[in-house]
Amino acid sequence: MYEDLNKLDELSRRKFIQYSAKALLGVGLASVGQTPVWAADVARTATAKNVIYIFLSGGMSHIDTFDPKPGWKEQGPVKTINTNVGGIRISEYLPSLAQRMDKLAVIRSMYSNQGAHEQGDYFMHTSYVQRGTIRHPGLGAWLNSMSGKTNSTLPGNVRIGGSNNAPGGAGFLDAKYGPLHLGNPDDGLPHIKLHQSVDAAEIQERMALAQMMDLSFHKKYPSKKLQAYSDVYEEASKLMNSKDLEAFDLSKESELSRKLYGESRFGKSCLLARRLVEHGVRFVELTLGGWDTHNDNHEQIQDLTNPLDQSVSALLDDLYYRGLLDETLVVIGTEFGRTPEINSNAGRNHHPTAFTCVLAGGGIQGGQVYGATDERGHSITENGVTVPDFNATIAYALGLPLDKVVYSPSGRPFQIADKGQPIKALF
Amino acid sequence: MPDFILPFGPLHIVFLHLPIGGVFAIWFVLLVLKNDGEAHRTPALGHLHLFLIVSTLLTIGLGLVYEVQGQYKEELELHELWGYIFGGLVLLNYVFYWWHRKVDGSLSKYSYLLSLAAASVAMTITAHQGGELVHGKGFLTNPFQASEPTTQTIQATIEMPLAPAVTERPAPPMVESTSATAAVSNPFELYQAAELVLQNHCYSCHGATKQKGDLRLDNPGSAMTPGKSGEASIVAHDATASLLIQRMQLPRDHDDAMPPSNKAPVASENIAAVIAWIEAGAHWPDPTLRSQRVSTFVEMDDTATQAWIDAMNASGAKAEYNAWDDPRIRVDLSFTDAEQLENTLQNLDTVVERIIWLDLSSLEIPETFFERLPQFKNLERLHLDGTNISDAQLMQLSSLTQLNYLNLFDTQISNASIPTLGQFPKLKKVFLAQTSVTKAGAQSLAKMQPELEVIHR
Repeated sequence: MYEDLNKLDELSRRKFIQYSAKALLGVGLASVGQTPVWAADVARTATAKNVIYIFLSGGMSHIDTFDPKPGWKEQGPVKTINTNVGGIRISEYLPSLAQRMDKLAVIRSMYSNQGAHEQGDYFMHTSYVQRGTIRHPGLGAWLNSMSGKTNSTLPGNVRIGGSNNAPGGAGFLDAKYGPLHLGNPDDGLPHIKLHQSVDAAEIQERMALAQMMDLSFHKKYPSKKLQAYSDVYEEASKLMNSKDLEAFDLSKESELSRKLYGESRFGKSCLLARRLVEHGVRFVELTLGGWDTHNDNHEQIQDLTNPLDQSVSALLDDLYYRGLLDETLVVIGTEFGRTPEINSNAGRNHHPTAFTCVLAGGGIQGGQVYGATDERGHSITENGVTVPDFNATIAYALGLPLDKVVYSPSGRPFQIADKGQPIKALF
Repeated sequence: MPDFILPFGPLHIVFLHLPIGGVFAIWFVLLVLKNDGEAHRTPALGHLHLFLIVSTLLTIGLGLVYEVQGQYKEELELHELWGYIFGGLVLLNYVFYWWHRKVDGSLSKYSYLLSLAAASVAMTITAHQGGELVHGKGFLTNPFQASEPTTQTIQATIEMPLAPAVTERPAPPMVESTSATAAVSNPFELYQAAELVLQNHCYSCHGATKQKGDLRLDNPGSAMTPGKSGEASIVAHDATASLLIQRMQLPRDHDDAMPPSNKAPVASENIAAVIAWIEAGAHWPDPTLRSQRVSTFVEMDDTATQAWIDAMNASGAKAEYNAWDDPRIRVDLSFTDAEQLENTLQNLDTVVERIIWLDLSSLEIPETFFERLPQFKNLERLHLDGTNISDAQLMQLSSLTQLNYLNLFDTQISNASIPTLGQFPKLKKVFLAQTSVTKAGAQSLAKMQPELEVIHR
């Protein structure tokens, strides 16, 4: 018994859950002063294994897409169409997605307290308000640090498009949990081929030489951070020889599926995301920018929704037929909505008071609308969902321990989705 | 407050001596170096005053840093207030100094001397309060009251509950501790419960940041070592002999009561938890051992399964429990190397009954394994997408009656399998896209099993 006690440190997530379960069922630590960390509904069976997070950067106009207001005088030229689920109507700009409404859960009652792009983006990705003193981790980093990556040689967290240092990276967690950033889906993974003058034997010699030079230093300073450096080398060389690399090669896809996803950069990103998830990457984020429609809102939204509608529909179909949609959560997120009123430039301005996000797959019940806004899409009338709630819902689907407190290196306590509560009605 | 200055907080303890020296030096110049009543004109005095101001401000600043770094709370308030008063008086005194130096006269002179005296008094009060924070309450006066040995008072009070005449706050009798702690039996749970109490009530003063009375309680080594009192805080198997318990059971208004009167008292059931832990032998896992053995973690009640899962994960597959409190197992083999596959599949036999999810996506599955697959009787979810499964092999799987999810995407399955698929009683979803199954075949399956979702295109 006493022996076992000593083995209970740095528990992995699963082990931690099992252990806590026993502590609670057996004794009830609650009697000794503190409420138990684990309520029965916090840890649960994961319904999703992977996440494809589509981030519409700039702030998607909810009124012109998933939350149209046909009776509102400033709705503009966009019409409302039926979906394949009775009673749910969305904008005519999304005809293909309307036919896949039975797979979507539309959350029309999102609200945020961050009305500027950088801050809203940060809040959406991390559930925390941006601070100068700390970088908070994104969901991909949380997932990989808590649940572990698969045994694929590929990295567990990939970001396609957007900027390299956008929020939602590793934050204060180990750098290895941060996303691998790919600028262009067509280019595949850069820097993975050996230089022409270096062959396999040569690279091995070089690595051995480097190791030899490091050896005495590592012996003298056996620190975790140093070890991480050698791990990076090792993983990189594993990746260079990996058969999983073909996941990055879009030319392996049939002509038909390339056509279904579309030739746009976003379409290719969606296709790449599916290939990556199929090869064991657990968190893929895609960015589709340009939603900051202060001018010519309707014209711009029409141009933006074309690739969105086509590629996301193709992605949902593809995942569905492959059986991947059951374990892959597809998220459409944005930092805020846009004002119901049209401004003097025929555009709409920032509107964090109410906006729409969409979830699909990964255990989410499709064909439902959660929450509602008033007759002009200005404010929320029922079931308001905060940004931390939204992220908590994603973490809940992944079976992550929402209540677990994780300390940053400076000793400050953080939780995956801050104090967010998952929306269980969506499952 | 920026993090980088926090480590400088403890320098407060060093720098606070500078203003004390400054004040004494000023008095020394004024009183001892009598310069025909012209002492205040010595340039040295001006320098000393400047030195006093600078060192006072520095000390106050560091004190504020230390307050954050040392996580002091309300006990600091008075010290802080007097510190500000002292700082204010020092500044006022400087103003009067210049007045006295420029304008001769008794008013300016006495203002100057009086403000200096006031500053000295404020400094003494501040310093004494600071001293009590560091050395404990009554550190100056207590030694003079040592006529009766402290141990005796403690002994007397601990017998209080036994004496019927004394009614104030009886300690819980040890034999019948609260029901919660009575239920606790194993040493680790006892330790955990007790450690929680120590953590909530003791570590802030007897922990990593502060060790009042030379006592540190947050690790087994120092917790068992006596502090300044010379008595062991924790005596295994004997709660009454443990000073920790004696002090916690003292009446709240007693000078030696712990936690001190200005802190939150420990609830009696929490004291009972600590007593129970000490009585059971005060087992405290060695923290150094704990960190060394991370890799050899063994699940407490089911060593074999945990070892199996760990071995599986080490070999390049992914295995995990279905959920907390659910010992059934999910196994994902879809990224296993071809050369290891045979071996890994062999290993599944150990826990065959407990596997409910099995992911074999994109594997070249050996013929022999298809023959063993029907033994996985509790399988609920089976991924065979992209594998080499044939109609004949699928037919063998009809004994998997618990199956509710079957993924056959991108396989050579044809219409010949439709009758087999119609026979799984619990099947809810079957994926038949990119197979040889025709549209008519899929439709006939859907008709056969109206509950079944057939995914096909």
